Amino acid sequence: VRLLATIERHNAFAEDPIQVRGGWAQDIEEFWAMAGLGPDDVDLLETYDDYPVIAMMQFEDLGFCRKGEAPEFVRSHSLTNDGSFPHNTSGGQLSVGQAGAAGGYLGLVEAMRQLIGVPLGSAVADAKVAVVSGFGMINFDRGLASGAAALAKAA
Amino acid sequence: MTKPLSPPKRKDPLRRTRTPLSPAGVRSRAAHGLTAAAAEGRFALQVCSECATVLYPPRDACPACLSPRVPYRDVDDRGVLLAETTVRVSTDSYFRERLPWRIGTIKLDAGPLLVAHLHGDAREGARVRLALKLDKSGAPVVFAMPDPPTENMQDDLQLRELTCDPKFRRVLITDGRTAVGQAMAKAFSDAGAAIVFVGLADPWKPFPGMNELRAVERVEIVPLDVTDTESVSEQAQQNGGRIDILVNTAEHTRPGGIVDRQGLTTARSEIDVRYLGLLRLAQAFGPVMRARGADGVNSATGFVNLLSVYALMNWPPYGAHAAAEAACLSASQAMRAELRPGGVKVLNVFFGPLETEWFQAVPPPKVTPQALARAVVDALRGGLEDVFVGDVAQDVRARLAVDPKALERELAG
Repeated sequence: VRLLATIERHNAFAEDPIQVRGGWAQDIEEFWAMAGLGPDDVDLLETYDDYPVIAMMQFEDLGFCRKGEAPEFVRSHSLTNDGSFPHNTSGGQLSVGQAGAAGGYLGLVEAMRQLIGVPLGSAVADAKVAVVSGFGMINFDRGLASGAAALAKAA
Repeated sequence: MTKPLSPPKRKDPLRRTRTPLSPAGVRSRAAHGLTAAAAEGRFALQVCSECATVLYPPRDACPACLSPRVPYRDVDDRGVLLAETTVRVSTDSYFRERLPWRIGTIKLDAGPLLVAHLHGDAREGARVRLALKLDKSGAPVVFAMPDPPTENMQDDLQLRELTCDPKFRRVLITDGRTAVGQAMAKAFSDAGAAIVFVGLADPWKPFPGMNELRAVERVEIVPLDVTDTESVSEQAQQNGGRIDILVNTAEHTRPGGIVDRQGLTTARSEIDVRYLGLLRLAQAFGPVMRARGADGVNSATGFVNLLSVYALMNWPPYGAHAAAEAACLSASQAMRAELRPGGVKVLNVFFGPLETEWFQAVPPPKVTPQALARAVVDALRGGLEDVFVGDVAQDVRARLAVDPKALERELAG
C-alpha cells in the first residue's frame, strides 16, 4: 500500500459558534492535490464515526459532496460494501464500539486490509484507492483534531 | 408556556418509594468556583485578569493568553440559545428516569459558549438568561431560562429538579412560638405549600400571635419540643414521611459574652435548643428525608438552618450565642454531606440582628421576621445553599472574604 497524501489540523475554525465543520475543510484542496486524484477516484472511505452526524460532516469536508448536502448524498447513495459509496466497510465504530485511542486505527487497518485483499468481512470489489479520516480530542463542545490519509494499492 | 404543576395525588402506601439517584457530580477544583456561585445564586465565571476573556468550561489558564490568573467574577448572564437537542435515550441511571431531557448551546453576550440544561420555554434562536444551579449531587450546572420570563416558569420540571420550591410541598416549621416561626408559617402558606406543620412545645400555653398563626391557611399545629429527644422522635414517627422541607426556627438568643457571664445555665440552654436541637431534628427527620429525595412532585428537598451571621465570626456582645451558632454551622456542613445522597439540600440562611425582642438594644439595620421568611422562600425557589439576608449579614460576609483578622478586631469594637 502506498501513502498518497496526509493532512492533520488542530483547533481549526475555533470561532465557529457551533461545530459544523472540521479541520479537513481547511486542508482539503492541498490533500487532493498531494494525492494527485479526486473524490471520484476513491473506492472506499473510512471515517471516524463516533456519531453518524460526524461521519456525514466528513463526507462534506473531504469533498465528497458540498457543505450542507450530506443528507441528500446519503439518500442518493448506498453505503454498503457493494454499494455506490462503500463506507466504513468493517461496520465502523458504530458497530464495534469506540475503542478509546485505538479507535482511530479501526479505519486505517480496514482500509489496508481492503487494499491488499485480505478483508475480514466482505471485500470491496477491485478496491484501488481508499481514504481514511480521523477526528477527536473533544474539548467541551467540539472536536479539536482532524486528519486524513489517501492510500493506494501498490501497483 | 410551562404547564402549571398539578397538586400531587395522595401517595399509595403500598407503592415503593423510589431510591434517589444522583447525576454524575465530579468536577475539578477550578470548577468549584461555579459551586460557590451556585450556592449563593450568583452567575460567576472565570475572567482572565490579563486579557479579560470570559472562560467556560473552568480552566487553570486562559485559553486566549495562557495567563494562570483566572479568578471568578460575576458576569452578565444574558445570551442566545444557538442550538438545542432533546436527549431521549441515556445509559445514565439518573437521567434515564427523567427523559426526555433538553440541553442546548448558548452564546453568552459576555463571550463564551456554554452547553446548558434548558427550561421548557427556552427556544432555539431566542434570548435566554443563564443561572448556575446545584443539581441533586450538589454539583454546579448551567441552566438556561427564557428571557423575558414566561408564565408558570417556576413549575418547569427540569428546573424543579434543581430547586426546592415549596409549592405543593409539606413544610415543618419547628417552633411557632417565635415571631420568626410565625412569619415563616405565613410565607410558606403564601408560597403554596400543601401543609405547613408548625411545632409548638406546650401548646396549651398561650403566646403572642397564637390566634393569627392558627388562622393561617393550611397551618397544622403539631406538638414538638426540640429540647426533648422523645418529642422530636414522636413527631418524626407521626409526620416524618410527609416532611419535604424542614425549617428550624427554634431560637435561643441572649446577649452576653463569655467572661462576664455567671455560670453555664444560659450557655447550656443555648446549646440545648440550638446545637442539640439541630442534632435531634437531623437524626429524627434526616434519614427519612434522604430516602424520599426522588418521591415525585413533593419529594423531600430541603433542610433549612437559620443562623446568626456571627456563626462565621464571633460578635462579643452576643459572644456565647455566636459560639452556639458556630456549632450549628459546623454541624450543617456535615449534614450537607450526609443528606446529599438523597438530593436533599441544606440551606443555611445567615442574618444579623433581628427586629425581635432579644435584639431590643441593638440599633438598626435589623432584619424583620417577615423579610427573613421571604428570603427563605426565595432561596428555596432558587435552590440555593447559602443566603445572606440584610445589610449586616452581607457586610460581615464581604468583610470576612477580604480579611478575617480585620473582621475579628472590628467586631470586637
